[in-house]
Amino acid sequence: MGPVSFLLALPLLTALALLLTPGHQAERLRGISFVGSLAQLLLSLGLAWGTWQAESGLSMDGLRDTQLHFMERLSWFPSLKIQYLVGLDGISASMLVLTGIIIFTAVLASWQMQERLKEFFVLLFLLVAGVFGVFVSFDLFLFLVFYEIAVLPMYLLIGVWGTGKRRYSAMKLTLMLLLGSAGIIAGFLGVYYGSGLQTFDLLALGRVDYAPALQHWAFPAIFIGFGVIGALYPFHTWSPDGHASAPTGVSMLHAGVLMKLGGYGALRIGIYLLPEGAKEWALVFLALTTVNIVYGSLGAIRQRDLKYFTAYSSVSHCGFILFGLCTLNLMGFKGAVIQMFSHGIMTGLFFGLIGMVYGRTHTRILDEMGGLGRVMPWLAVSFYIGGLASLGLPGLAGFIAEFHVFLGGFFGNPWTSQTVTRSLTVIATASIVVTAVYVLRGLAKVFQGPQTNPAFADLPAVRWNEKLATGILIAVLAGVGLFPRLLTDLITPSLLPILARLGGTS
Amino acid sequence: MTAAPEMLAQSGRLPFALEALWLVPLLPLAGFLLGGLVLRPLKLRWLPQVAAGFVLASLLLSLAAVKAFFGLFPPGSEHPALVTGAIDWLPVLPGLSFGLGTLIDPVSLLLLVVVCTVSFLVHLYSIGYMADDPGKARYFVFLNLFTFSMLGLVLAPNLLQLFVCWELVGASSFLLIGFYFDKPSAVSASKKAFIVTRFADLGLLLGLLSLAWLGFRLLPGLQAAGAVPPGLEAADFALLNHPAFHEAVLALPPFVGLSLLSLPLLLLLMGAAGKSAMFPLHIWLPDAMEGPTPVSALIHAATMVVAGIYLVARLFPAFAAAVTPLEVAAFLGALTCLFAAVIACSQDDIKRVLAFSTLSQLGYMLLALGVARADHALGHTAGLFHLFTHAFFKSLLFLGAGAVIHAVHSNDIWRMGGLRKKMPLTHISFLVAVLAIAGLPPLAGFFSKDEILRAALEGGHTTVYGIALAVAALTPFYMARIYLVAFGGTARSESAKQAHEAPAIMTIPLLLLALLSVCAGWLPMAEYIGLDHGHAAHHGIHWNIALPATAAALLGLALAGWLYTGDRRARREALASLLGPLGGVIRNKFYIDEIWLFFARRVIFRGISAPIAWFDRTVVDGAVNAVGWLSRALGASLTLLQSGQLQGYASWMLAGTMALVLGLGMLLGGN
Amino acid sequence: MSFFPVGIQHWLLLCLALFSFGLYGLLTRRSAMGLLLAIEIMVNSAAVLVVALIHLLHPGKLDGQLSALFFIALAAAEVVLALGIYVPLARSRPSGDVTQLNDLRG
Repeated sequence: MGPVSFLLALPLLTALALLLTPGHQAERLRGISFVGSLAQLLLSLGLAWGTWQAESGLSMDGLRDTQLHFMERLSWFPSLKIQYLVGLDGISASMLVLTGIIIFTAVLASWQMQERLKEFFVLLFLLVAGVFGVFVSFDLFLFLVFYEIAVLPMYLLIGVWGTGKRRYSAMKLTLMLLLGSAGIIAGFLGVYYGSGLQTFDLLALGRVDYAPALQHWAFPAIFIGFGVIGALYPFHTWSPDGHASAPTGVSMLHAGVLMKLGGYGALRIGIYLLPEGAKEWALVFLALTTVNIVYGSLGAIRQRDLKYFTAYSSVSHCGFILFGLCTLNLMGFKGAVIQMFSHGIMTGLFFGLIGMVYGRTHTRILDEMGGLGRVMPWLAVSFYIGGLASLGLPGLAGFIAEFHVFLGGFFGNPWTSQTVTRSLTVIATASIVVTAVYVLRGLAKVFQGPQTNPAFADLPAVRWNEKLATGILIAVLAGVGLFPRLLTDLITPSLLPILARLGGTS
Repeated sequence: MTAAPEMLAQSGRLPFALEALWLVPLLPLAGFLLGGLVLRPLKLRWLPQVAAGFVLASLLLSLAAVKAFFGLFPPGSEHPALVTGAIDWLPVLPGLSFGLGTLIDPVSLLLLVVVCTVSFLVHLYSIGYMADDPGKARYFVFLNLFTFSMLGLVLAPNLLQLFVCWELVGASSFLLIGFYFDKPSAVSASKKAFIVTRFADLGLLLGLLSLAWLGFRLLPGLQAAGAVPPGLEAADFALLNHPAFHEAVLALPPFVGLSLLSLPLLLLLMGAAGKSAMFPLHIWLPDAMEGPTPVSALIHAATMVVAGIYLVARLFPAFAAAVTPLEVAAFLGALTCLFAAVIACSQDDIKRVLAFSTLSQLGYMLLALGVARADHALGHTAGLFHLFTHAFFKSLLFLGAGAVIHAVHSNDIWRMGGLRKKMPLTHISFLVAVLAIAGLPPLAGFFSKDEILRAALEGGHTTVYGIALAVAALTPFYMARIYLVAFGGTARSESAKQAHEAPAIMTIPLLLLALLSVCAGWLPMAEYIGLDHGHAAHHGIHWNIALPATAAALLGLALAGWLYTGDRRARREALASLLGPLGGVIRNKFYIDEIWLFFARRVIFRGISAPIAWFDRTVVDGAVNAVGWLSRALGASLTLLQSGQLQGYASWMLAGTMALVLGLGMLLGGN
Repeated sequence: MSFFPVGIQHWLLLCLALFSFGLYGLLTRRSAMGLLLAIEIMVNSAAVLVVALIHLLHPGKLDGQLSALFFIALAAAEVVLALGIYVPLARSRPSGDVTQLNDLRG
C-alpha cells in the first residue's frame, strides 16, 4: 500500500477506532479524533512536500502530460476498465494540504460539542475520506465514488447536528448536489464512450481529442455539475441555507473543502478533457461567475445573520475560483487554485470563529451583538485578520488569488473576445470595494461600538483548542500571503498540461 | 539610468547602507511582529520604547543611506536609480514576474527621510500622549505596522509592491482611525476612510493591471531592440518611466479617445486622488481625525496622504509623456486646494481645520506636479519640496494640537484660549508651524511655496497660478485664526484654565519638528531631486514670486488679526451676514458628505443590495423550492398506486409482464 | 410405443393450466396461506415446463431434472421465508385476510 492509499485509509481507520470506542467516553473520542486528524494533516503535508520535490525537478517548458507522483494503479472492474488509480500532482497536493488543515482545525473547533459526539466524528471522517479520495483519484469512476462519499454524510451531519431549518437545508443541499452529480455522470459517460477507449483512466482520456458535438454538450454538463457544488450562480442557493444550518465543524469542512471539489473537478476534468467545449462556453460561464462575484458581495451587505453573511461572501469568493477557470489562461488557473486554497482557509477560519462566538453569545444576529471586541479580544483579532484576508488585503492569501484572477481576466485568451473578458473583469474588480463595505460593516457591528448587552459582559475565556485552531489558520493565511511561491511553485507545473490541452502557452 | 551604477549594484560594491536598505522597512516589521506576537501577549511595559527603537534604527540607517548615496553621486549631478535587495516574489508567467526590493533614487530617499523622521518623532511623542491609555500596546503595534508599510511603499521598485504597501498603509490607517473602537464615530470614520480609499484603489488596481499588460506585451520587443536595459520586469518603474516604453505605447491605437498611456495613468491618478484625499474623494480625511492625534500627525498629515503625490512623482516621466493625466492632476489639485482652504476657514474643530488644511496643501502639491512638463520639470521638484517641508510643519501642527487637546480635553477652538502662557513650549512650536505654513520667509513653507508658484507661472498656467496665490492668502488666514483663538486671548472654558504644559517626552518632538520647520526650506532641493539639471537649477529667492506670495500671506494674517484678536464678534457677524447663505454652505463643507451618503445609503443599500438579497431569497431560491414542491406533488399523486393490497400489486405485475411480452412480441414479430 | 403420444403441446397446455390456476388463486384468494399455495403451483408449473422443454431439446441430458431439483430447493427456501412472515402475522391477525394487511398503503 502506497502513501496515498494510506492517506485514504487514515480517516477510515480513525472512524473505525471511534466506532470501537464507547460513546460516553468523550475525552477518548476527542483524543482519537485529534490524533487521527493530526496524522492526516502531517501525512498530507509530507505528500505535498514530496510532490514539490518531484515537481521542482521537472522542466517547465516541455510539460505536456500530467505527471503523477506516488501513483498506484490496480485493476478494479476489468470488464469495464475501471481502475483504482490514485496519485498526486501539484494541484491535488495543495488541496490535500488544505483538507488536512481544515479537518484538523475542524476537530479542534468541535471540541466542545456534546451531542452524539461519536457519530459526529465518524461521519466527519467519512466525509474527509471522500474528499481526500476525490483529490487523489485519476480514474473517473473512482472519482465519482469518492465524490458521493464526500457529499452524502453532509445530509446526516446537517440534518442531525444542525440548527434552524436543518432538515430543509440538508434536503435542499443533498438534492441540489445530487442534481449536479447527474450532470457530472452524464458528462463522464459521454467522455467514456466518446473517447473510443471505453476507459475511465483520466490520464489516457487526457490524450484524446473529442468530437466537437460531444464537447458542446458534455462540457456544460460537467461544468454546471461541478458548478453546483462550487456555488455557481444561479445554482448557489443551497449554500446559504446549508452553511447557516450546519454545525461549526461541518460548516468549516463544507465551505472550506467541499465547495472546492467543484472548482477542482471543473478544472481537472471539465477543462482538461474538453478544451474545445471550454473555449466555446467560456464567455457564458465567465458572465455567470461575474454575477456570482458581484451579486454575492452585494447580497452579503444586507444579511443580518453572521452565517448567512459569510455564506454570501463565500458565494462571491467562490465566484473568483470559477471566474479564474473561465479565463482559460495560466494566471486565471493559478488564481483559481490559489483561491480554492485561500478561500478554504479563510472561510474555515470564519466559520470556526462564528461557532466560537455563537457558543458564547448564543446569537448570530448582527444587530444583537456589538462591542464584543472588549470581551473577546482573541476572537476579535482573528476575525479582523480573516476579514482583511477576505477583502483581499495584500500580505494575506486572498490578495494573491484575486490578483492572479484579475490578471488572468485582464490578459484574456486567444479564443474569447478580449473586450468582453476585460469588461467583465472590470466589473468583477468592483467587488473589492463592495467586499470592503460588507466586511467592515459586519466586523463593526459585532466587535466595535459600545458594548451594550449586559449578558455579554462576562463570557467564557478562549480555550486552548480555539486558540490553536485560529492560530494555525491565520498562520497559513499569512504564510501564503507573504510567500506566495510556496503555493504557486507547487501548482504551476501541474497546470501546464491543462494549458497544453487548450493549445495555449500562457 | 546609466549603465555604470547598475553594474555597481550587481557587483555588490555598493556601500553597506544602500545594500542593506531593505532593512529599513523590515525593522518596523520586526517591531510589529515582536510587539504583536511576543510583547503584547506578555503584557510587557516597555513595548512603546521597543517600537520606537526599531523606528529609530530605520531612521539612522536611512540617514546613512542618504549620505552614502549622495557620497557616490554628488548633488547636482545625474542621479541613477538603483535597485537592491531584490527578490523574485511572485513569478506569474514566463516573462511576467513581480519582485520585491528597494528602489534607491533621490525621490525615494527624500520620502524615506520624511517617513522615518516623522514616524520616529511621533513614536516618541506617543509614549507620552498614550501613557495612560489601556490600549497603548495595540497602538504601538499598529504604528509599527504602518511605518513598515509606508517605508515599503516608498521604496517600491515596481507597481505591485507599491500597491501591496498602499493597501497595507490603508489597512493600518483604518485600524488606527478606529483605535477607540468603543466610539461609534471613530468606527464609522474608520470604515469610511477604508471604503473611500478602497474605491479609489479600484483605479489603482486597474491601472496596475493595464500597465502590467502593456509592459508584458511590449517588453520582449523593446528588449530585443535593445531599447531598454536587460533584467526589467513588466511593472518595474524603470520600465514604465522609460522613454522607449512611452514611445511604444503611444504607437498603439487609442481607446475612447485616450492614448493607452493616458488611460492607465488616469486610473492610477484616481487611486492617488483617493489616498491623497483629492476632491471629491476627500470626504474620509476630515473624519479620520477621530483617531488619536499623533496618528493624524503621522498618517493623515505627513506620510500616508502624500502617497498619492508620491505615486505621481514616481511615475512622473510617464505622466509627462502622456500629458493629459497631468492636466487632470493640475485641475484636481487646484480645485482641491482652493475648496479645502475655503472650508478650513469655517471649521471650529482644531483637528478638522488642520485636516482641511492638509487637503489644501496636498492639492498644492498635486497642482505643482500637474503644471510640470517633461521639458519644464520645476513643478516636480517643487511639489516634492513642498511635500518635504509640509510633512514637518503639518505634523508639528497636529502634535501641537494633540498637546492642546490633551490639556483641554476638547477639540473645539472656542473652548480653548489663553494657552500661550499655560503651554509656552507648545505655543512657540505651534507658532513656528503656523508661520511656516503661512509661507513667511525664511521658514520652510516659504521656499517650497515659492517654487510651486514659480512653476505654475513659468509653466504658463496663469489660472492655476491665480488659484495658488489665493490659497497662499487663505492658508495664513485660517491658520492664524485657530492660533489666535486657541492660544491668544483668555481662557474660554474651565479646562482651558486648568491646562498645563505637556511632559518633556511630548515637547521634545515638538521642538525638534519646529527646528525642522524652520530649516527644511534651506536645502537646495533642486540639486538633490531636480530632473532637469541643465537650466532651472539655481536656487534662491525669485522676487517676482516671493513678493506677491509674501504679500498674500501678510494679507491673510492681517485679516485674521483684524477678526480674531480680542473680542471681535461684531466684525465676524458682519462678515457672516455679508456671505449670506454661502456661509452655511461652506460651513457644511459644500454638502459633499451628504451627497456621498445619499449615494451609499439610498442607491447602494436600498436600491441595489436590498433588492438583490430579496431577489436571491425569493426568486432564485424560490425557483429551487418550486422544483422541490413540484416533485413532491408528483410523488404524492403517485403514492395512490401504493394501495397496500397485495393482490393489487400482483395484478399490476401481471399487467406489466403481459405488456412487456406483447411489446416484445410485436417488436420481434416485426422483424 | 406410446399409447397416447405426448407432444410438446400437451406439456405446454398442462403448464399453462397449472400457471393459470395459480394465478387465479393468487388474484382471488383472501387467505395468506391460499396465496402461498397458489404461488407454489405457479412455481411448479414453471419447473415442469423447464423439465419438459429441456428434455425435448436435449434428450438424454439431465439438466432439466437438475434444475427442477434446484427449483424445488428454491421453493422450499421460499416457503420457509413466507411461513416465517406468515406465522407472526397469523399470531397478531388471526383472520389471515390479506386485504386487511394494507399498512403499507402510500
